[in-house]
Amino acid sequence: MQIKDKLIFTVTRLLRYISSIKLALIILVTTVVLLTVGVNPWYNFNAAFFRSWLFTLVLAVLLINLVFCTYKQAKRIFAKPVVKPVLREIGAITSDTGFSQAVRGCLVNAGFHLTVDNPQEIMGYKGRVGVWGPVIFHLGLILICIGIFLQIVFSFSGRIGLVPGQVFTDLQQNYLSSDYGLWRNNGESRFKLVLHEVKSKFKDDGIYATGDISVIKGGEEVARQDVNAGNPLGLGIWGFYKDEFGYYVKIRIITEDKDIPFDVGLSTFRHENSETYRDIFDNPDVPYKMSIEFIPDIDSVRGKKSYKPNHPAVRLMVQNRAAQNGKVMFNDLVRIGQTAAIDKNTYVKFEGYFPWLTLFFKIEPGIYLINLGFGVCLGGLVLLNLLVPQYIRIKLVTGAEGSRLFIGGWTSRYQNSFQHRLTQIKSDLSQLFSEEEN
Amino acid sequence: MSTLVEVGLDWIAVTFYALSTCLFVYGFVFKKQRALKWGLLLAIAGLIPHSAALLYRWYISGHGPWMRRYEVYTSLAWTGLLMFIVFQWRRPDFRPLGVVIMPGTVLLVGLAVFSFSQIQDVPESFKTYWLILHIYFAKLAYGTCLIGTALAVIYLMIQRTNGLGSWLRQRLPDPDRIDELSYRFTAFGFVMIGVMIAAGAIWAKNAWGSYWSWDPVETWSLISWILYGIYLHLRRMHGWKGTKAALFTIGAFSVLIFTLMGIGIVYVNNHSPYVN
Repeated sequence: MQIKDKLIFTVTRLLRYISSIKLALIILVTTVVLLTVGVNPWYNFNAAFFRSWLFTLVLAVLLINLVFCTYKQAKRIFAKPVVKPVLREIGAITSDTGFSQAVRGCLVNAGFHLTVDNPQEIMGYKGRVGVWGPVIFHLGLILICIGIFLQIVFSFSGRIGLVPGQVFTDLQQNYLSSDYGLWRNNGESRFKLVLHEVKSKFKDDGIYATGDISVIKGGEEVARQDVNAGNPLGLGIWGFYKDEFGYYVKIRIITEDKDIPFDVGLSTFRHENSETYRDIFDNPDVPYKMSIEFIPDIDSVRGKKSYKPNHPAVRLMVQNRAAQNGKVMFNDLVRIGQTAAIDKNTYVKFEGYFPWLTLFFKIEPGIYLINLGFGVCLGGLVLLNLLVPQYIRIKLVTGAEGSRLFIGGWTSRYQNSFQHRLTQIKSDLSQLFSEEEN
Repeated sequence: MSTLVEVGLDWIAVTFYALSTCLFVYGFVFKKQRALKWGLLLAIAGLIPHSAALLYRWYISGHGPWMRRYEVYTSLAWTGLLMFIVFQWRRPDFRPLGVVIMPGTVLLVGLAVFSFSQIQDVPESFKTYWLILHIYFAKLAYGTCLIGTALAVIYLMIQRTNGLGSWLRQRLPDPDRIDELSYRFTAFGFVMIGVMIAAGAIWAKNAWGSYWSWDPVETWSLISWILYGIYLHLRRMHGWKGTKAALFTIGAFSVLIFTLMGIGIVYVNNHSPYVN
């Protein structure tokens, strides 16, 4: 029995501590410290730090604390839906005729809805829904946290490289890279993807590309969209996002006895535009080390709206890999279709180019909860700030020495402003009563 | 030519703001109410060329002031000052607040002019309402938290027992009301930072496929938001008021300033190409 009591006592204390603001503050301070450590400029741990068990643990404790605190908060509101403010005396009045319409008008003009209205007492409130603001806000945070945990456990993301006309099958080996959540689901081949076309928009500052893609599921096209930065293709918890964009440049090296064709993939950073695409090509199959820069329009004049893909060219710098000093053999522009001599009886030809695109495929099991959480949080914040709950109570107490008038008010926030307002109402009422008595 | 117009207008604004600062400081130190009034009028006068410079930049660049350090600093200063002037219009009894707001404004516009840069085109991924919301709320967050912090500074000055403290006590409302007003502005700033973070996350999700990538700007925004969250909890649940609350507000605002303006200097990150 004693052990049972002790256990109940310990559990109760533990629960009380878990649902305490003190713990919430400790976790918040710990989170701030961890965030500052994780993002310090001298040794930036990057995302790896924020995926560590320590950080996940702190988030988990925060979530538990949030759930308990919010429950406690909501319970308190349910348990005590109407507040009866403590009364303070305004003064004595001689005529006891109850509250006139003018008194009610004074409170209504101050924005109060009257709930109790009888000759002895008037009670009113405003912004009562605002009491729910903190609860709703914290509820939104809980939803976001649960969504984040679902993402951590069940998510999948993979990079897909595509050229126009290519069909991609959702198999592990077809992804350029992939990242599983904690629970690895091998349910592959969920869809096929077709890149119909890379649509390029030529603007003053470079090329912007979008990819016209279809998602095929069970042999049927279930979605088709032009995917661009800011315009991903969403299919429930699946999402296809544009990542890198670039060009494959087809180059041919021709010698007396050899003809070596090869493609070089040149890309721009993530989703941004670019005027040029460059890379260093150093492949053992090709006897030269090359620095290649693809220029979609060699005649473009930036900022003068003359950017058109009519005159592409590559800037080639060819180095002899066999020579010790890597002697530069060629460094010049080569236009499309042009053949240039880089050595005795050795030529390089720029044959053509075609665009390519990489997409991010993501499975996000927590996405709906996170979106809902954002909305709920926002709703809570609006309630929290726009509706400050205020209660007012006026009471007439009749005794042997006559009637005495009392006033009381209660608010959850901004006590000083409310007291100031209450004093104003009090003086208005005093004036009203003295006028009525006269 | 365009550079000349913008920088010229900015310098006119800086001149007005500098004079306004001098008058605010003079009025504050020598307890001259008239000087404070003239300080405010000069600040309003300075806002005219400042607004013109911003609008001109907007017109020639074809986008709002959200690319590069120059545009970010000058628009933040503009928002902060405008909010101060609107606050003054509603509560003229808080005029001494200018002694905190104006030096910051001069410094910020001055820094903007010295980091003047040519127009940078807005990438395609920036052309979304979420990003515009993100940026506007960042500016509103700065403005509201600036006033909340200025009130906290004034509160601390009122607590002084010297002549300045008593002069301020005579001219400003009750210290408890200043303290509460600082709390209200800070609480509102908390909402603004929250919306700024949420809008930025939604934009990042659409553009990069991820709500959150632990970019230093994201992380520091979260740190600022949590700090303001701690402040609100301490205030509501642990009864923190007065000096302690004022000092905390000032500390949290310093972190917010670093988030909005300092990260581009210290870190290389996803936001760097647009804020440097």
